Amino acid sequence: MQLVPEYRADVKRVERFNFVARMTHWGHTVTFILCLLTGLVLFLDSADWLAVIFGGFSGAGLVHRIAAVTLTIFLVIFVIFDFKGIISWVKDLLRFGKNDIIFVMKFPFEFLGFPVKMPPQTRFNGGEKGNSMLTPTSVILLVLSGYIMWFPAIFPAGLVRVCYPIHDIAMVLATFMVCMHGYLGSFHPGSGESFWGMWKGTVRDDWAQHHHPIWYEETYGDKANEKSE
Amino acid sequence: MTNHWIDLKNTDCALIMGSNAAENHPISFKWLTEARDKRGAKIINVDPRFTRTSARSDIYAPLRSGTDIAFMGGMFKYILENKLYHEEYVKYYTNATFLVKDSFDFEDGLFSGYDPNKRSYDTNKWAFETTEDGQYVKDMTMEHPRCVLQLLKKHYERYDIDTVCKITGTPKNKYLQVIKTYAATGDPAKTGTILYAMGTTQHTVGTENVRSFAMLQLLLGNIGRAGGGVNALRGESNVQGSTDWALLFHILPGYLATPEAQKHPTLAAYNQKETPKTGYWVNKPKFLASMLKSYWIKDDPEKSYYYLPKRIDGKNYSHIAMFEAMYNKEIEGLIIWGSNPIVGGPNANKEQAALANLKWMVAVDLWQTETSEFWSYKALDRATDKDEYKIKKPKDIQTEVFFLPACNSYEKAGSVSNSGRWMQYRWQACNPVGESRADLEIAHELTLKIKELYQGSSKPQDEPITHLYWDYGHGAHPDLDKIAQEINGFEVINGKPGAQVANFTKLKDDGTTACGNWIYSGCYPAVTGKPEDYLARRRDNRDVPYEGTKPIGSYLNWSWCWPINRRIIYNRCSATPEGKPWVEDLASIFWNGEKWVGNDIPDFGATKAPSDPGGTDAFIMRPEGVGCIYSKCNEGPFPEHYEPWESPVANILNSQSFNPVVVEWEPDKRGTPDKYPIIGTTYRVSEHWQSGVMTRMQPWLAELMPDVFVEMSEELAKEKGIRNGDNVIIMSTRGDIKAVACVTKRFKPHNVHGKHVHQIGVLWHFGFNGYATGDPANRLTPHIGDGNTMIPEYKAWLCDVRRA
Amino acid sequence: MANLTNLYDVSKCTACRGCQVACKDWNQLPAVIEPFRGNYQTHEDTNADTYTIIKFIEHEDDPAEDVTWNFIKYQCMHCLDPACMKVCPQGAISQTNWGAVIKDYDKCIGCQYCTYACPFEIPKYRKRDDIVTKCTLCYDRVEEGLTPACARTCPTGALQFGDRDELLERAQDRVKFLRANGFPNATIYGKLELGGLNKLYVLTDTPDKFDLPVNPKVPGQITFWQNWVQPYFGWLIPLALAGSAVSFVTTRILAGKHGEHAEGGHE
Repeated sequence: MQLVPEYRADVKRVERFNFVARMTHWGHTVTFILCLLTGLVLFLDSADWLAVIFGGFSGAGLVHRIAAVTLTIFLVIFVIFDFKGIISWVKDLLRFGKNDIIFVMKFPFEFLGFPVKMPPQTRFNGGEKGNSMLTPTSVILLVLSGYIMWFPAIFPAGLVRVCYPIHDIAMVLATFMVCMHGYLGSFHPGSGESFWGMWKGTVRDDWAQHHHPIWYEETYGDKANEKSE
Repeated sequence: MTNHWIDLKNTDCALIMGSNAAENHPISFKWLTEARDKRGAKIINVDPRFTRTSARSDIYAPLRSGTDIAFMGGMFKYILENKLYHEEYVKYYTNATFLVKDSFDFEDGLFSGYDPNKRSYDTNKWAFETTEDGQYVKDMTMEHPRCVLQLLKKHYERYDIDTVCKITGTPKNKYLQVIKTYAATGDPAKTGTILYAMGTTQHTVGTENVRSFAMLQLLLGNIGRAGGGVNALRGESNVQGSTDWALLFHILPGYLATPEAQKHPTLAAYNQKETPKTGYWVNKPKFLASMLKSYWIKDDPEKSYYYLPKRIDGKNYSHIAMFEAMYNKEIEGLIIWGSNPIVGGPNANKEQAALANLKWMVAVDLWQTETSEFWSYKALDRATDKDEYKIKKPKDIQTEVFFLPACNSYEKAGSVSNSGRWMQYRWQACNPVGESRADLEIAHELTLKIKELYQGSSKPQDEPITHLYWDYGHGAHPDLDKIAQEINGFEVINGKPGAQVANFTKLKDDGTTACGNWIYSGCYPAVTGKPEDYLARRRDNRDVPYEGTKPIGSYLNWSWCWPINRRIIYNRCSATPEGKPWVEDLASIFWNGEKWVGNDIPDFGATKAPSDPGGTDAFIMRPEGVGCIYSKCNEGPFPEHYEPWESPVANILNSQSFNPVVVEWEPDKRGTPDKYPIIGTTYRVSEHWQSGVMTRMQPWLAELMPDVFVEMSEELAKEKGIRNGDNVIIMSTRGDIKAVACVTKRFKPHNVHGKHVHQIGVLWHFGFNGYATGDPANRLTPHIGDGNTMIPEYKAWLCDVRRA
Repeated sequence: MANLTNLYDVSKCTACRGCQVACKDWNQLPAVIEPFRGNYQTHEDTNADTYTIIKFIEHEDDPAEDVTWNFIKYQCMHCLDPACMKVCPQGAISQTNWGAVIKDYDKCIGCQYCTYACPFEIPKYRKRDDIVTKCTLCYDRVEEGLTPACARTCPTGALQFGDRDELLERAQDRVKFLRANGFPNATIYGKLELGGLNKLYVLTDTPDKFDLPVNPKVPGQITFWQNWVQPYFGWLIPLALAGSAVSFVTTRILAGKHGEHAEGGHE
């Protein structure tokens, strides 16, 4: 069975994500998963075996901290080196509108594989917009609450205590989103092509036109050409 | 203590004055708490500062350091004027009824017979009136103007509440509360106890302070009774023992005066001058002869008396005097044994400078004390440049110092005598560390070595050593039982030990008995081979009451207590003149028609009936047979208030600026209030012990009190711009030290003569060695002592304080 | 088994701090020498090597009256319903059948959850061993028939050890006595607080005068976290995984039914 749609170098491809975006994305993927695995050791009562992989609880704790710091560094790199990209990303998010709502409402059918007709989407579709809001928010909360719990002596006890549930909630939300995102972005037959967008940086021209017509039009279509002229 | 620790549970009121019992004698509060819970007893604390003792007391009254006599004087006046004293007790058991000769007089702080050049009194001026056949003249109505009670009343007329409070700074309502509460123990059915320690004694008027306690207790009928007494809380586990054993220069073991060269040339002269005509001390020649026999068993006491070292007549050999002599290069060598004077001695800068004048010094201690390293660079560290005594640098010090490591009490066996005079044996728990040795073993080997060096000498001047009787078994470990047997005493037959004596009543003055210390005679009355032959080893914790009475906590079969296991001394006073207990529930001893019986060993002729002649002479050690409300201290028959040597205010009761009989060693070092306006005092805390040698070396204790601190009021801190926890410099004419400020609500300025007088308190435990280090507070204290005992004035002196 | 506990009577405590040293001795804890900051207490709080401290608190409500100087022994309260035990992810904290809340240091991983769950902020992190430590109520002594080191050393009888119900009765009598003898606000602490503590106090004044929380509560954040977030919220993750799995299958089945995806995707 085919997991990810085949990479087709023979068709016309358009750029979807630049290098910095892709590097930080995969950086976050690795560090997040490491944090998740080492964190679950504490979150789940029955996950002691996970600690063994990391050389015991102190090993898991160490990996958790190293991965968390690395994750933070990727965040910083992303902010510094792809500031423009962030701005356009945020701008795109702000375009959340009727089409996106329809997309989200019809999405469960799409998700399960029923043929549905979706309204035209911008660079990120309604679902991706939701993910784009929830996941970074959760990660930022994870990072902040994590550091507060790491250095409790310099923060008020009440704040430290709030961080325990926040860290957990944010972790669960982020993990939920990451699971969905990971599945949709690679194994879902309909949106699998976007995997190559994040891996190689380009997607098939026809896929882009089909899934993100507004974005395609604005970036590579007539409007974009008008602008460049 | 006239009584003992457990007896504190029998009291109705405890006056803790000049002591921080809760902090420095924690076990006292086990029994005081019991008294409060079971008897509803009140605990009163009088202290310049609010301590942990104050926190656990029912009434707290502040007083300015060094004004205890004024405080007590006001109590006497109130008690006498309101007739709150225990009349029957006062009449029969004290000298209140005695008439005093009219040569006695008092004017402007001075009694009759004062010689300002000698700074001493002719005490003959204060004698009692006697009949031609030597009997004391008494007035049993106590109305005669020259009877002691009336003289007492007259003397303290000036000590009205307002005047006293002006001197002491005590709030009037607090003062009255203290007087009324404590005076209530004048009720024959009640008893009150006084607990005191160094806050009372370490003054230029220390002896008179204690005297005033004794007088108060006699007036209220509290001596010799369960729950009463004048109780000195001893600061070291064995300080009672060391005092009994002639720690001080003026006494031989068992409180026999040391002989003076001119005054006591022969044993006969000594006996004639030192033996009173009446009272139990008529036996003194027996005690001294037996002591001499225990030292030199083969010699007659008349001869061996010459072996005893004699003092130069009138010369002072007290701590301050010795260090002054060292400072003036009059002393060559010093063996310093379990003592740390450059931390614990007064005017520590001067004492440190004095040590550098020695040719040699031997220090014996558990750790290398600051004193044993007085020559080091560490010893030179000072908070400021002040150097009043020109302390020598290490390169200029020529003293040869030897250090002998001693082991601690758990590493050796032997007895200690606690505050309640209990001689308790302790078994060895573990072996000494390294090369450390028990003090006794060090003394033993030293003596054997000295004897060896003199062996074979036939010179008469070597006889004190060649004839010395030293038979404590073989080898380096002396036999403790043999020593204890000698202390108890035995018969001497042909220059050899015979049977043990039962107790000191069996001692003789003809050289047929030997006894190391008469007050301990009875601790080893027979040798049967059992460990319990040595009564200090007894551990029976049952308090079996005498038939038909309730137990009073005597525990007569637990260890042994001097004299002859008597737990409360002067206990004849616990019964009425007719021989019945004052309080049935607290029956100590009583007359059953044939003899004295009860829950204690009678301090009286066992079969002397109350109706016999002298049957109410309860104070058997006194020639008059009664307690002394009127006595012959160096300062006079009644304590009079004198300001401390360094005082921020003038005396308003008389024009004497300080105690007229004390020796002034350093007049130029007397601080004045214009430069040094603050009263300073030193003290200890629970967490450290004495000069800190044992506690500052213990991390767990160093942790509890890590730094030297100075307590001061919020008012003073504000004036000086000092915040809690700041480093400050404390200055006196003797030196400066650095300390951490402890700004507290527990210190308040004293309201003295209508003005605010500040007082600060510094911990004195610290030195430069150990886990917790700091400046010794005694670099501030003066070289001046009490008029009788020469105990240094650690508690009231002048200083100033500023931010470091 | 009945609960065994300490009864600590502040009215008898002279703050000699023998208990502090006895605790260090029995538990073989190193000294933590901190500079003196102006209070006899020396340590502001318990620490990983100091399981118990005596607090020294000065009050002066009325300048005309004496200052009061309150002493109180502070250590783990051994709650009958211990929050620390609930939050511990390793089950390192347990309760003996006589009420001591104890830690298994082999299981403790130093996560410090318990330090923030505790309403008294007692457990403390010990860095050198990566564990969190606290008073053990000397369970290792008690189970051998001895009394806790602190109670054994107390010279004045301020600390007693025994059956909780019996001590509670004694405490009630004592409070009655104190109320009648100059301490109208005397009260018991530990009887009802947090559903009962396995450490009882007789106080001469209200708990706030002794730096004790008047109405201690397990912090709300911790209850929310423990009761809601931990048990239920995590189910979102398996839900996402399960959904993806279902989708993985259904998309591929349905794709068969509706024909191949166009290269550009379906519509």
